[in-house]
Amino acid sequence: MNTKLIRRGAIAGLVLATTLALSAQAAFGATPGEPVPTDPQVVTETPAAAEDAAPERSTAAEASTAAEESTAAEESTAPEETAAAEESTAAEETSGTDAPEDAEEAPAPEIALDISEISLDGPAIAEVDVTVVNDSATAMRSVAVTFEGPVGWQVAVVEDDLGSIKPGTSETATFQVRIPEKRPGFELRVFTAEATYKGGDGAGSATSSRAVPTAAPLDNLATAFNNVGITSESATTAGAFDNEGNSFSAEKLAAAGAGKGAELDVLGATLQMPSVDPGTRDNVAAAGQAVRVQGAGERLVFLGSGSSTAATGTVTVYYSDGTVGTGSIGFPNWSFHAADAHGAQLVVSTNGRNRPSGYGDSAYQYRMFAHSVPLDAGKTVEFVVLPGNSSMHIFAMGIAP
Amino acid sequence: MTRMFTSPREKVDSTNDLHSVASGFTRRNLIGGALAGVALAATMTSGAATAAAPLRRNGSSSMANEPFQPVDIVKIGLIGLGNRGMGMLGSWVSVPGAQVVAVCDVRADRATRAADRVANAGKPRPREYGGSDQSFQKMLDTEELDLVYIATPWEFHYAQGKAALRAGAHVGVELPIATELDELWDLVDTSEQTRKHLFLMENCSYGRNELAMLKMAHDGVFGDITSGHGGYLHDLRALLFNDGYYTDDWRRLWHTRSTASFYAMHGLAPIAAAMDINRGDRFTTLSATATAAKGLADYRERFVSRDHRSWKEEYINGDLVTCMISTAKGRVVRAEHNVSQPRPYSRINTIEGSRGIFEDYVGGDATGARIYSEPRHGGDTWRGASALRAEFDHWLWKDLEGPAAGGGHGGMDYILQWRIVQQMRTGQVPDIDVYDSAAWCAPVPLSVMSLEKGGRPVEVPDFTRGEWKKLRLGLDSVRSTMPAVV
Repeated sequence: MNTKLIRRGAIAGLVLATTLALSAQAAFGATPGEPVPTDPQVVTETPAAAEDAAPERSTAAEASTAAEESTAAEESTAPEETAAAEESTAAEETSGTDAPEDAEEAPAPEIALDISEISLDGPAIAEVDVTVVNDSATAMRSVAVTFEGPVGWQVAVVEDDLGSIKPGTSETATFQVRIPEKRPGFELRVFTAEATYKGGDGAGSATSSRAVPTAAPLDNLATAFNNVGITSESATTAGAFDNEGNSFSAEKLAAAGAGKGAELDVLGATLQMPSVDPGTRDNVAAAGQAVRVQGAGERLVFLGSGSSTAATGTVTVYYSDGTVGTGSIGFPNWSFHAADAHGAQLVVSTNGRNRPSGYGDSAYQYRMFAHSVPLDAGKTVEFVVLPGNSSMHIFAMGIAP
Repeated sequence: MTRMFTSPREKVDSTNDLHSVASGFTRRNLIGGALAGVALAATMTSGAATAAAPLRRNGSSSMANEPFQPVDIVKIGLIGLGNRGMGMLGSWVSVPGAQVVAVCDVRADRATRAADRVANAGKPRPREYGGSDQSFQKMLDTEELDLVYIATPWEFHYAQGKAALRAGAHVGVELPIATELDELWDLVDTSEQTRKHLFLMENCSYGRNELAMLKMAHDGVFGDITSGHGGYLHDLRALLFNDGYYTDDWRRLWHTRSTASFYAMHGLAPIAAAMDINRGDRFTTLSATATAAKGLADYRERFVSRDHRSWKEEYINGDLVTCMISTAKGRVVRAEHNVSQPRPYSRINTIEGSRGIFEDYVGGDATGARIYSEPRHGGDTWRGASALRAEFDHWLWKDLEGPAAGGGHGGMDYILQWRIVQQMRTGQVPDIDVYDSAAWCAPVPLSVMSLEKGGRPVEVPDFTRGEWKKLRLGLDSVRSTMPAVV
């Protein structure tokens, strides 16, 4: 688990300690089991790295950056983690201080961006205000704001050049966003604003984001099942684990102790094989689905396999206190791939597979693996958003206490 | 040899004082005031005169986002009752709240047949106008029409469209609305002056695949859109040499007098919509290429008797005319036109972005389209478009699939006509406006100009005069109903 993002929020102070902990907690429900509203909105703000920041801030930032990069490198070389590390590096720089990593004690940012609420009831053209607040002691000059929506969403500028902002005042930029028709299912639509400026706190830029979910998360993994990965050797045609209609053999899995509903002790968690009949949907081809997983523990464990050699991606964990974390997982290809590829651990191996024409390829091993993301101690998981990579097939997940 | 085409519209529009040539220079450009003169001189020097927008006429304002004034019943007059006009008549009669009150064709017998059809459908018999090339003007002078539908040969569209605007009607014009740049500008200006809409009757904008593709693009299925590809690839050779199908051979004769990409709008318009052209982006430059003109002569050689009048013709329109169009946001559109070579039909309908691609007319599945989109899909393997088309099906198709079934062009015609009538009755903003229409038709004259320059880019005018920077809904519209007819 990339805890840096969470720490970033904590250190960055004001926003995560107040906005996120309040609005996001309210948004996703502080009490486990409570339904998540359909249109909660989460705001995060990140004053950016200060090129011309005070020396003590720069020093601290450099130290922090180096430490984070080192940690990230040791943990993994997966692209997602690298990206996360880069993101967190910038965040750590902004927090650059030797103050305790305690949200309550963190100073409020002097330059703040507020993105107005955004309705996802499309099709529509929405106007979005981005208010830049100057709480520093110095006037901001040449203030320019940019705004982006989810990838592919059209944004137009109404007003983005705010000129100067006196200390203790704010100015508002305005943008248009094309909101597409709302679709069923959960997606987190993220909008990001950045202000560049001279003067003010001297940081030169600040960012803010607003995340708007389109719906409540699914109740459990089984409700997200969208793929048939296991079939009986007597009826193989429903299989669709890979693009050629192949699938695991239910009989061979049962013989290996991983039959329908079987409990498996994996990476400290007890995971249950799908309790569905062979030939029915039994796994999630990951496509960013949001699924409730309630509880606390050391790590969130996934049982799955890859239908390609690139079955990797980022898991986003939403805690009941409104904080958010990310972590990377990956599964090796179900065959012809090192069993520890992407940092996974082999769980079950079977001989052969079911092809559309029947059971075959018995000389080869077809396997399921485990991978996990660490969880923040003391925090309760509310739901997770799975990676967006349909070659990653997830059969089960659970929390290791 | 490239020949300039002087439009026959001069015969039917005595009020027109513009001398139009394919270069895009017009008298209006040249007398548009001192400032415009300076601008024109500057752009002439740079070789980009086509982009100079004339000053907006006094008292005019933009028609962007301008709603129709609602009417209970849409009174319609039809000009041109050949293949297309008669083909559309049935839906004009059947769409709730539409009433065909006048029909016009230079051949009076066609007007009579059209009136008979309306009466036979149990509707009030429309008044007939015909017998001369000024009959349409008489209809416009006599009738109080809410909507004029024009389906005459291309050379008459501009003059008749302008006259209908001046008569106080909204105007739907078959492709293209005009064939010269100054004509396009004049229609924009006249629409702004009269406060009446003029729009291209682009039925393909309402195709089921096209509308689903549009909604996918807006949802981000393809990521950030970077390129699109559309066109009109339709083997029309047999029809072009069919005596009587195109009255007086009008369409074949265009191939003797212009090098233009005549008719790429059917494929270009859906791509433009998916890119939000004039609604956040705009076409900026166009460069054209053309192959040799072989197809029609080859067909004539093999299938047309030596005593046929077509043997006096020389065809100069390249078989494949390709326009590469750039946009302000750095996208690229390829628009093709080919009606003179043997080939299966295609409008191409391809859109591609940072996360996926949609391709139509490739036989992916029952939709004829295929798609690939991350993170939904993996393995670099095409998927048929059925699942995503169903997910992103436009409300017009969900609501009108039944009534549209059996309608022209797979139902697109009915949906187009239904939507126009509905928008007029409910006072909505039209999905397609004069700016869209001008932009989609601009490749007709601009392709000629680029070809004359050896394929060098020419600038595409901003017919919106800056309004393109604002987002507007357009074809990806909010579901609404047709009012009951009292």
